Amino acid sequence: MDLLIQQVVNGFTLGSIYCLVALGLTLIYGIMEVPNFAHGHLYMVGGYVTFFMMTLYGINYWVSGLIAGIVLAVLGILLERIVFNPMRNSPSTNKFIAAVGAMMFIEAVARVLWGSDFRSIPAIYDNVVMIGGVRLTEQRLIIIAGAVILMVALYLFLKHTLIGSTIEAMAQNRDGASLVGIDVNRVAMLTFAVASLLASAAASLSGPIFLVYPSMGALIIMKVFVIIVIGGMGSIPGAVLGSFILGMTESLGATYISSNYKDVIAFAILVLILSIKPSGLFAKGGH
Amino acid sequence: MLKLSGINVSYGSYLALQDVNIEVNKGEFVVLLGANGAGKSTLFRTISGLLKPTSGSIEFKGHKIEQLPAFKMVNLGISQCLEGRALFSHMPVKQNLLLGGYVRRNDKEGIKKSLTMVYELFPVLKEKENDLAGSLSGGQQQMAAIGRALMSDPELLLLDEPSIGLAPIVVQQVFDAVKIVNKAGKTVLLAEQNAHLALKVSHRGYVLENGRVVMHDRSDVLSGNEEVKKAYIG
Ligand SMILES: Nc1ncnc2c1ncn2[C@@H]1O[C@H](COP(=O)(O)OP(=O)(O)OP(=O)(O)O)[C@@H](O)[C@H]1O
Ligand SMILES: [Mg+2]
Repeated sequence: MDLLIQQVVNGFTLGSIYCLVALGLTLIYGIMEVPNFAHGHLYMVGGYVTFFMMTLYGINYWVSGLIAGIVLAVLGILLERIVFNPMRNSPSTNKFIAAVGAMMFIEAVARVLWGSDFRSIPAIYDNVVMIGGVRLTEQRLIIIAGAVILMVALYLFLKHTLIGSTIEAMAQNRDGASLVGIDVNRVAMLTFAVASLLASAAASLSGPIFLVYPSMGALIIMKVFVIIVIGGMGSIPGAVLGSFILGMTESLGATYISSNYKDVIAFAILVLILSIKPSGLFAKGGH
Repeated sequence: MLKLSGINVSYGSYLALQDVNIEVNKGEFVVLLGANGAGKSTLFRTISGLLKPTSGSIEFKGHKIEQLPAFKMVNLGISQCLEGRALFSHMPVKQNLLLGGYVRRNDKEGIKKSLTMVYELFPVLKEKENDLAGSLSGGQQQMAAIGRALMSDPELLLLDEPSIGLAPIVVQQVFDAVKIVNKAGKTVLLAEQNAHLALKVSHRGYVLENGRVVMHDRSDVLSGNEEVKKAYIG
């Protein structure tokens, strides 16, 4: 029983991290209609920035995470300007290739600059807390709480501020957005900034447990891509639900089936869900 | 107020508009008649900057605007309702309207006034303000689209086939509302295939065929014209 609860908490932890990355990916997909395959790599860079802020400059964990978020927001904007914006009117295939190119470029740079070693963001919250007889590390609770706070903040931003709603407006009707006076270029930059910041936050939160290494981006992007396909491309509730479904199944599957299959589970779910609902759980529709 | 001179627009090698000259004066209600594929939407999308003409010029209040991006037009006072309405269908009606006032977002009082005005014009929008725009009926969506276009308090309102797919009684309602808007001082340019009602409410009309303006005159004269009658009225 305790094992079950522990694995459920682990499932939520994983789901939280997936969710922060998936939300950004789905937001970007909504406005560009092409997946930003480099999104996982922004997550990776966010992890490194946090790590170096703490280890090289001795900056506090939270401040390091904040700095990483800002740095990544700027990188996200650059990625939009340099890679995606020039391709705005190109066929999807070209954007696709550009995104994959950006992904390989970022990973190569990371390997050159930082090597291929696994690094651990210094854990400062590694105490164990007992909740209802279950032993949990503080960091896991921080990951879940942090993700929930960021999700609520994102929700309020998108639904209750006019600037935030321009992102959804552009996703729902690009011409309509232009005609009410929304500058779609600025919305694209804003979206990349927000999405990259969320990815960076995911890495800062997960770094003390899941480590930081150059291929972490490629690993997470596969799963998060599966998540937004499951959830329905461009759907926010779909991304949230998909993240927790995947996190939970991976965690429980690793315990009760075999940990060898952990990374295959994502694809098993993908096949299962898409055979029942081919357009995903929350199809955006009308595109 | 709006002056198009020698406008040519092409899609690849296909010339969709040829040497179009149109003028709309302040306070006028002008209708653009044309059959399917005549080029009405192309013309409207060109005025609002979504398409760029290959040659020719567009002047609005004396400024050349043909090279401006679409999002800047609202600031100048041009607001367009696209064919197909282009609503934000997964957002509530009210949010659609508020986004219509995006360019005056700092003018809280003005937005409130415009919202009241839109709700008076189309009371059903007030009732449905919390419903998703995509869940409204076709007529209500058209009203929401016109309402959204009015929220920026434009000087020139461009309406591309607002009657498309609507029951005659709803078309009448929509046209009545547009007439009220025009009487209140807004200049209107409206595209239509069905001339009957459009010529009744408008001052002047242009007839577009295969991308060319083939006729233009006062609306009452056009209504009496045999060719127009045959082609565009029942
Ligand atoms: N994106 C496009 N690419 C190529 N050709 C187009 C495009 N849009 C329109 N056309 C062509 O340009 C011509 C004018 O089309 P347009 O949509 O402007 O006509 P319309 O008068 O608005 O017709 P409708 O009454 O059906 O709305 C048509 O022959 C159409 O096939
Ligand atoms: Mg048309």
